[in-house]
Amino acid sequence: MYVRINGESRQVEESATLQQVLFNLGYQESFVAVAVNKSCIKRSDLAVTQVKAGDDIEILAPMAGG
Amino acid sequence: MWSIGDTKINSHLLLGTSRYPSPASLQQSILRAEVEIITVSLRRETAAKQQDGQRFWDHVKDLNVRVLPNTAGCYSVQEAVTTAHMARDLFATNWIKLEVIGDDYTLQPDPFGLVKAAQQLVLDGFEVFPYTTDDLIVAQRLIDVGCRVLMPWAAPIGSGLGLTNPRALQLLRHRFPKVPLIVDAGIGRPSHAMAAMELGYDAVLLNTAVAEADDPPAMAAAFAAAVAFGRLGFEAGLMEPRSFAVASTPLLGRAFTPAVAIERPS
Repeated sequence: MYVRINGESRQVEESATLQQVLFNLGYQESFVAVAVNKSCIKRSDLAVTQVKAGDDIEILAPMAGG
Repeated sequence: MWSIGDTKINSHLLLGTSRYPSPASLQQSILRAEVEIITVSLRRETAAKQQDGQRFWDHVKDLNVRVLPNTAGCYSVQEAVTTAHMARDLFATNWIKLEVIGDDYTLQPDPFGLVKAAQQLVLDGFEVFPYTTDDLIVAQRLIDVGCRVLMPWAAPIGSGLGLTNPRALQLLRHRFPKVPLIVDAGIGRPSHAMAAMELGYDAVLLNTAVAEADDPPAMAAAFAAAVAFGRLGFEAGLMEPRSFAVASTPLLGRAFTPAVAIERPS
């Protein structure tokens, strides 16, 4: 199935969790925050949150800011 | 010392972390400024660059400073609220520098979206630091919805223009004597920061003026001194300006003047 990840269309496995999606994208050790369809998903819930077709996923990392 | 909620703060300077020539320069600037609070942000990370965020975080997380995440780049209430929640989850802090931008050219805050987002985030348990203009009524609305600190701009972000409307900033100080006020944005020189502190502001938040200096750590030290002296001057009690001269040397006993007749007792 297809989802959008940081604005790009990506194919992910059916019924994958967010943690699995992050792992497959190479984010397994990364310090990132995730939102799905403009709602924040707590890091503690990534392993129990299933991705659905068409989900709009944002993956954000710390960055310098003023 | 000043405080935000239950948090006591000694330093009157907050420092942004962007645009430094190197991570070492950023680290040295934070140390020389002796700040307790730095601002950070959140950005998309592509798979190809996915260690950038981790590297940045590694540079700042052990500096023993509190982070104030921002919602920079958000143009809608929902974007700002979602970003704030993501920042809270990632940085484990309920502090958020709330930016809802209304204009690309000036990066001027959208006051309507700002108040709405602030109201939601206060309800969600955030300590909201709203980046706002110097408008008195917007400031009042932000306080009405639960903001316990205000961050009016001095001038547009990154402009370095200094206090373009000091009377408006002074009015905010006068009308909200108990609310922590931080001048955020537009500070270009240490003298600008000192002027803000002389108005009775609790702190100054700046970034570009330090990051783009020839020697950022030295400039950070200069700003730290400027805010400290500005605060000291304010606390010491600044004299009120007058329209006319008032001689500082006593007139009594002035030379070359007619003698004052001394009355003798009869």
